[in-house]
Amino acid sequence: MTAIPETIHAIRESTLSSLLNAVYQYVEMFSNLNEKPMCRRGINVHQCHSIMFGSLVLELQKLRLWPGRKSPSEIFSSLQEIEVGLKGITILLYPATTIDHKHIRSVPVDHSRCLFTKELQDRVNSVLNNTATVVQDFHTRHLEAQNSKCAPMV
Amino acid sequence: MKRRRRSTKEPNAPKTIYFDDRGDKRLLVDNTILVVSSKTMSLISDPFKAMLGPNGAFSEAQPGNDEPIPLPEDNLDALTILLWIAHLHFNKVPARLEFEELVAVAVLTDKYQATQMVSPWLSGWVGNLRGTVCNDGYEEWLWIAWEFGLADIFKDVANKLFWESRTNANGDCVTARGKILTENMPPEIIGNGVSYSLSPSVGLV
Repeated sequence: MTAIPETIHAIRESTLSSLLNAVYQYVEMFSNLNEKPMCRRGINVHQCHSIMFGSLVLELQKLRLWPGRKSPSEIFSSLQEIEVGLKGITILLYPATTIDHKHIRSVPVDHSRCLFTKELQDRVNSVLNNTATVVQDFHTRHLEAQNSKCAPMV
Repeated sequence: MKRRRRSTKEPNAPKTIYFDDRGDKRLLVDNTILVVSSKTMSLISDPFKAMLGPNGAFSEAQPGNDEPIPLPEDNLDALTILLWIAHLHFNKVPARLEFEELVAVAVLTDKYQATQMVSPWLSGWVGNLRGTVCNDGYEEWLWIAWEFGLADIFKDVANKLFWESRTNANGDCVTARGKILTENMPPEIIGNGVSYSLSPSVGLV
């Protein structure tokens, strides 16, 4: 039999762990010099990479998830607050520019497709949608037994 | 059978409520004497039977002992409601309760295994307060739902606590208002340090 506060604590820790893994994975991808840059445009790659990395780290700092990787036990906020915080992360983009293509015409270069916030939100949703249930089987059995004593009920 | 209160000039003298004019046992709660019928009480549940019976744990309940049986942990208003019902004074049972009163009734019906006895009034009591289920500061709905088998309310409150509870520096789960979750909750759902066993499921309850 697992008590409600303990169940909440345990599922909260495991959910936080998955959420933190999801977000720190991006930090690792950005900071690993052996990985290719996160810019998907191939133009001004390092500038784009640096701006996105810098803004990610600043956003995590605002959420008290940085500096340094935090463990679930270091997070005091509610899951609801963490969810809102992670989904609200704003990443700055390298400004759109134009390049002179083969000296014939100017081509606009927009880095919006380098953004990974939608992907991060999807990962957060995926973690939250697969969270274990707080109400355990023994809770349900007890509630049914009590309800049968009180029938007809509200 | 009438409800009577003893008038007295002594400032600290207990007041008396008669649930049975010919009651043979007296309970003492919050400086109030509750005169009850041991026969009636023993029909409510085994804990009352054990408490008031001649072989019970209370020396005050033994034949020849006229001392009232002290129940210092019980809530007077909640116990009074249970005793009005037990002694068939249904007209004295309130149709509506404050939230704290309903929590206190749930605590006592759990303690005295008297859940079934209040079932005719539950619909009114719960229905009147249902709008507060997911409000901050009303986490004891978890206890009410647990005691009266209200699965929907139990799930709603447990889920709310899961999403909105924080932790403090000691690792305790605390509510949005900073109250430690284990306070004022039934022992069965607080537990005593048992191991975790999570059931995986798709989606939240």
